[in-house]
Amino acid sequence: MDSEKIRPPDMPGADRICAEEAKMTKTEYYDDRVVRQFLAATIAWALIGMTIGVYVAAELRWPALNFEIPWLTFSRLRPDHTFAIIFGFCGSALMGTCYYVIQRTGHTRLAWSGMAGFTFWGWQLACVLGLITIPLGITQSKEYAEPEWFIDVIITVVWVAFGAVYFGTVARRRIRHIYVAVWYYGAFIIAVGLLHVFNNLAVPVSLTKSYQIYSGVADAMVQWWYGHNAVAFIFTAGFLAMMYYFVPRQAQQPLWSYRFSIVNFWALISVYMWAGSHHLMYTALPDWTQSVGMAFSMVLLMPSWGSAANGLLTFNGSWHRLKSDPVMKFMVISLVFYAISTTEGSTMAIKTVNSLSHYTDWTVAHVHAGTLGWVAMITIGSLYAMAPRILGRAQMHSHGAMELHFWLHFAGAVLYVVSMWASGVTAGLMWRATEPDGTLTYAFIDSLIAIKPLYIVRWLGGMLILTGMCVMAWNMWHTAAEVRRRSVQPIPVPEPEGHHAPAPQPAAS
Amino acid sequence: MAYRHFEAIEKRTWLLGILTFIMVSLGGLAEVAPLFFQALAVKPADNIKPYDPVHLAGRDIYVREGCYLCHSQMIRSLRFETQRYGHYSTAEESVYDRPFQWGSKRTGPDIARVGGKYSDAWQRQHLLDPRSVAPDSNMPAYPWLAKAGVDGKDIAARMRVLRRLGHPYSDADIDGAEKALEGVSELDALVTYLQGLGVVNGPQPAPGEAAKAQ
Amino acid sequence: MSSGWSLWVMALVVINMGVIFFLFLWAPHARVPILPDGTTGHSWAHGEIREGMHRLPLWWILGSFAMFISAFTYLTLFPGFGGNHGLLQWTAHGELAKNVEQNKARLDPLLARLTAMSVEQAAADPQALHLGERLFVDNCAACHGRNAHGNPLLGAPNLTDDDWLYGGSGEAIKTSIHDGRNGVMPPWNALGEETVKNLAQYVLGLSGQPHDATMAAKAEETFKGTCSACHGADGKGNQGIGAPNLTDKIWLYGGSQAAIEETIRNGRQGQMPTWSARLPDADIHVLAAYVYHLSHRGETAAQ
Repeated sequence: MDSEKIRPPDMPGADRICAEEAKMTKTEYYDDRVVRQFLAATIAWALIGMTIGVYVAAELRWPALNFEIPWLTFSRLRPDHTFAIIFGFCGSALMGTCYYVIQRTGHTRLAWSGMAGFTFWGWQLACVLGLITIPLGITQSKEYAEPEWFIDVIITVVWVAFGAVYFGTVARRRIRHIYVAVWYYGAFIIAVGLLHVFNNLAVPVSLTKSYQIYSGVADAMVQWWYGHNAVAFIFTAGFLAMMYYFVPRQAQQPLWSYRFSIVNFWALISVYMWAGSHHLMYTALPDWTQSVGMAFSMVLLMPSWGSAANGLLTFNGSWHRLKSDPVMKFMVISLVFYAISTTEGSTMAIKTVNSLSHYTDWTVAHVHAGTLGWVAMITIGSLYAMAPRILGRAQMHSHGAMELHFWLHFAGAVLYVVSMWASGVTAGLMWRATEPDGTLTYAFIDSLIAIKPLYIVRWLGGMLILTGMCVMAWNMWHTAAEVRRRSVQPIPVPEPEGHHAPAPQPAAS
Repeated sequence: MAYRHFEAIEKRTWLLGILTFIMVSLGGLAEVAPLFFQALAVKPADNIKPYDPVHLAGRDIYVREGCYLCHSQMIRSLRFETQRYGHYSTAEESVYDRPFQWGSKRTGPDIARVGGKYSDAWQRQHLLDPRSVAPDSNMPAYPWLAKAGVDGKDIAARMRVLRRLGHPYSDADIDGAEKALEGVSELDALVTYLQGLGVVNGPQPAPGEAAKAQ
Repeated sequence: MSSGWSLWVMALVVINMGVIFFLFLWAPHARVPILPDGTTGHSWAHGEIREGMHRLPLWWILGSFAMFISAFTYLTLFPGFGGNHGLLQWTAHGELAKNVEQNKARLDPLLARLTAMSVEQAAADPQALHLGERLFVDNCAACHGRNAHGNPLLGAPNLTDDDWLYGGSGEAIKTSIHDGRNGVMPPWNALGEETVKNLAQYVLGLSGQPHDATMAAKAEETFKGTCSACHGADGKGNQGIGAPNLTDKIWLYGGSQAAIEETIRNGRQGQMPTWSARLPDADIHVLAAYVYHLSHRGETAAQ
């Protein structure tokens, strides 16, 4: 593809020309206000969530850091960290980029601007309420679904509105064929809605306390069906949507293979939903449920490797730009981390491996290889690619700051993941170590003493990540100068380009 | 199925949405539905009792403080696990656990059968100042538990909700909650709950039996 | 699992696996029309997004196929395809029982050898001490400390000093572990604060520590009349009921004036839990040997 020919009409220079033309014809404008709001919220939640993360990491090594204050205690703050990251950071990033992408891929503005604005404020309300209530001990104690019922209701309402804006916008698109990124955003919305509602079914006792309608084994299964697929549909499907839009654009290449998109999409969204039971290996969950979870986790490698390959191979022809383009660095490394962590995930779903890895920091390493490596890096790359366009600038304020951010983030992620791998494998091996005479080699406390130094390395990794995020916030602040002057020109929606209906040709393969 | 069928899906928002919904539903229908409906159909064994008011209050404090983030209550059926912690955990034991507290991470040891392992005094001291009894521990201190009392009316309301969800509480059980919790601090309730772990509703082995299962 | 649910699960597994296996077979061969430049002709975002149509990589096809085979094999051999038990008839509890048997075969000879000895003999056996130490750290160290020096906050005694509440013979130690011990020092605040303070001075005097002799003298009668019932007239204690010796400068809850006053005023209920329901008798035997060894290091090393 000849990149010279690309002159995106939504560059600032083009804006003004189009805007003048628009006065004569009745042109609609992209609804980027809500995207800018979500962009700001994403950065803010990243700073909040990662600051809490760094603090709880320090508490694990230096437990006196709770200062005997309830809401500052590890067990109250750890769910706050995951909540701020999953709902605040990931939620805002995905909703913002979703609004951006469905407009661009459909050549249409949002269906209902007002409702889109409501989803922003409603989502932020739910996130702030969760952020405040969880450290106060108002929690359902279901991992990644800690907020109590009244916050769940707000989330549900906002989510339905989000779905309405999504489907309304896709329905009014002016390009008939729906792009693969939009399929993933749709699956993300549908699945997260389904998971959220069924996992949070509870009977309230008071405003701040409710009991689940499930108990014991059924509750465990529902929780990990949710817990695993929150990973699947927020951390994977949502961010694959982001990847499918921003990677080809940054690479200035066509997406590598459409046939790959089709098989990966349908396989990924269905197979993931079975894999939750691999979180409950050797527990009181019936054997058959554990085995089904393991079998589907194996098959899950197919669309996972496929999606990573589809993204990475899209860069073919553009690899020479990797050295000078920090955005591309973020995207490429994110896909590498995605491939590593999904392979690792399926490996950990194998019963014998799981018996070693479960309950240890290996799980923590795996999650953070996914979140710091894949989720955060694809988000950061995509935001750096998207931000100048919606902030009325040709490019980010500082190229050097993006380079710095990449190296800080990359070094932090590697320190974090490697230290937690070491910690998890150490603890897992010590727990099962048996002397030749059949007695256990170590007491439990021995494993904790052994991994304590690694908790310092992990904390350092977290500090690097947080520092990088501060650099990003600074860079965004300066890139957003036009917004603060309220001089950003709205971007007109172009007429759809002539649809190239390809003449049927011999099959591509 | 020819390519044009896929193209048809990808050109129709509603069709794409419905097919996506169907495909993401299959896993849950297969794994969650049978367990949920079987749980409704099966009546718990006679020796399995719902939590009394003090244990319930203690359990809810356990949930509130987020103990499950570092302690599992699930002894897996693995030899090195039963050798260290005792008989593997069974499905019956958590039948009245809303929500379940199996946990996903052991920064501290499993406590599914910690009941009776240490004295009450140890449990209290350990919660108030963990490093005064376990110098290498990285558990946070929870001194505020000793200062707060448990609200008996609130626990009675909770028991009423649990009864609606199928826990067999009698009126007398619920009416007695307030009296049972008179003067009980959060620390008392939590220690009572911890001392019941693996004992209340646990498999009832003859002396030495749990250990022989190693 | 009822046969209805079994069929339900089987059907869903077949549907889902079937759909994706079909896609897997279909995707590499799908006849999708393309433009001369190799793209599908779909174009979004002002022409910035287009789609290529490359062949699927061979490593992916082979890798995916291998995953299908492993999943299929797994569900054939192991339980998981509905209520089907799998060809291996494997269960998690069955596997556990087998592993426990295997481990017992290694462990039992050792335990048989050690339980055949007396506790005192076992206290000189390196294997007993090795096993005993790990049992101690996992079970006893919480109260007595990893170095077994005890913890005055809990009244957990120092186990290295050969001073015993309930007797220091191997059998007595074993009984303490097996059945647990409940210390019952009643509260004496009813005697009045003055008497409590005088008694504390008297007790300090028993172990020859600096004390107020006048106050102590006032309490002598009370001690001989009341406290002596358990601690003995000379304050040397009674191992039959676990009443500590007050003359040896070894203190369960600390030997300061304030700590002694607190003990007299509010009493102490030290509790050693019962271990018979948690540990097998052989483990208790080995633990007792380890504990015996802690206060007889010189002798056991010499043996």
